[in-house]
Amino acid sequence: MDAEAAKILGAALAVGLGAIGPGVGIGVVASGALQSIARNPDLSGQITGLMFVGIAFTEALAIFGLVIGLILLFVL
Amino acid sequence: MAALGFDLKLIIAYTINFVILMVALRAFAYKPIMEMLEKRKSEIANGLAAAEKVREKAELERAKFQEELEKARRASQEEAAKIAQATAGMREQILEKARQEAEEIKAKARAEIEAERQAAQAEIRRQLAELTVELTRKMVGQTVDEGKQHELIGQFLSEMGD
Amino acid sequence: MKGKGLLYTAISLVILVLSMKYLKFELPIISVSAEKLPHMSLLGMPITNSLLTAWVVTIILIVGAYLITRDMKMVPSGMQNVLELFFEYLFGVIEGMAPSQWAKRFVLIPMTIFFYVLVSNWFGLLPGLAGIGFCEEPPHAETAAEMAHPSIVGCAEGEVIVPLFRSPSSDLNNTLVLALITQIAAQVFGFWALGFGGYMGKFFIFDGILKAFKPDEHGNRRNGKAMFGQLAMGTIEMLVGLLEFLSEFTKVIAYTFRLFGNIFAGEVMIIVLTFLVPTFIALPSLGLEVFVGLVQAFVFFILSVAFYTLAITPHHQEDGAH
Repeated sequence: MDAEAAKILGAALAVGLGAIGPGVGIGVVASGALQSIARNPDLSGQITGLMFVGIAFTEALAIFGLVIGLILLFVL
Repeated sequence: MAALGFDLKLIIAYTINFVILMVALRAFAYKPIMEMLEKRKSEIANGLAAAEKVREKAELERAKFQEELEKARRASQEEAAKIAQATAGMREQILEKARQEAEEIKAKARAEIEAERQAAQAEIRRQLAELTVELTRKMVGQTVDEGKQHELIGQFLSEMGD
Repeated sequence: MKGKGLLYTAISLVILVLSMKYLKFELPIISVSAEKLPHMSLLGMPITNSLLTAWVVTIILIVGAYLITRDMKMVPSGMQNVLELFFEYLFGVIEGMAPSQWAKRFVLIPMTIFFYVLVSNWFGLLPGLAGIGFCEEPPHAETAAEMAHPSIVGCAEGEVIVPLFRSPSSDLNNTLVLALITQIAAQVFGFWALGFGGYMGKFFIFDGILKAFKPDEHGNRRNGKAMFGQLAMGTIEMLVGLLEFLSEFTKVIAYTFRLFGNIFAGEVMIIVLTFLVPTFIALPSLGLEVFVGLVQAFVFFILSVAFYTLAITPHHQEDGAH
């Protein structure tokens, strides 16, 4: 396996594997937010804001994977 | 780091850019909007206070008006009652007067009738007496002097009168 | 209605197929760093397309704000209404999170970042902008800068286009600056609110460990087991504090790469989709990217407000023994 192939493989793995955890995590966050909105619709504005914060934290992990992938592909 | 494009000069340029943007937006956006929001808030508060004042005044005015109305109503009621009372009194008076008058008229009429009746009785009695005396004189054939005649008539009349 | 829909679908499909046959173009060079513009430099600093766009965005924002607030009306209308809507919503969010006396101090940096990032993100999505630029030899050619010539429609064989504009959010320098300013401001707010000792006390917590060697709340000397338990608790507390101290630095990295990754990935996705199918297919992603641009601006805003609020909150001592 030459270096170019390893880079591409590494990038694909970084993005693919890195998306698993955040995928589950964002699902948990959104499910919790929707449940609380269903229980208390009056707070939906506040909950939506906090949900986006939670999603941003979770999604950051996937984005790190993506950045690693991009660096592997286009920089190294 | 350089492979990712990090460059100290560019970082400084971006920092200066952002600081300029921050200062400009503070001057042109946040401050005027903040002031406008404050102004609007106070304006609304003032408007509400003024409306409350007007409402209170109207309430007061209404109460005063109500009171006056009540007073007027009471006065008019009293007036009406007085008038009604007066009317009733007058009616009574008039009736009474009428009754009295009728009574008087009736009494007068009765008295007159009585008087006439008595006059008529006296007349009849007198005539009867004269007739009787005349008759008697004729029958007796003797002339009865004037004096005697009167006496007789009086006697007869008194006998008859009882 | 139904006939019309079918007709439009058919026309779209024809355009799609034709475009796939005749509108083929080279996949542009995807570069993580912002491209340097040829023939342009300022005080020895190369001007990149992202920096140029950042200037344009700054000018748009300043001029826009000036024009909108030049004569503010008591009854807002038009753009004043839009600006006030954004401002009031964002200020409501700040007021909802921060104590009231701090809310006004928190306005400046997060809100500027919000507007700057929002306009940057959306500016980068303007269709057709990627086609305006300079044609250059591929990066590894020696004489790239000299060969450059302006282009609108396309480049000659063997050359690639260097776009004139590129969203500042897809330049790591810019996102790093935003992250650094936000984090430095968070530290400043922390020191301001809690004082030096108070703020540092949030990270360096030795109370728990020291307590192990002192008598407990009843005044008795601790025996070995109790001392060990307290020591373990104190160590965990200290490590959590140190971790938080460390996270103050990793936050910078998180801020930087979150914004960069989202926006850059979106642009790459649109470019690749457009390369595969020149028409229509990239449209839904474009719509998604408009939404992502808004969400990322809001996330940067709300995270900075949340971290400021966290910074001014004193470290909670869970025991009342002190």
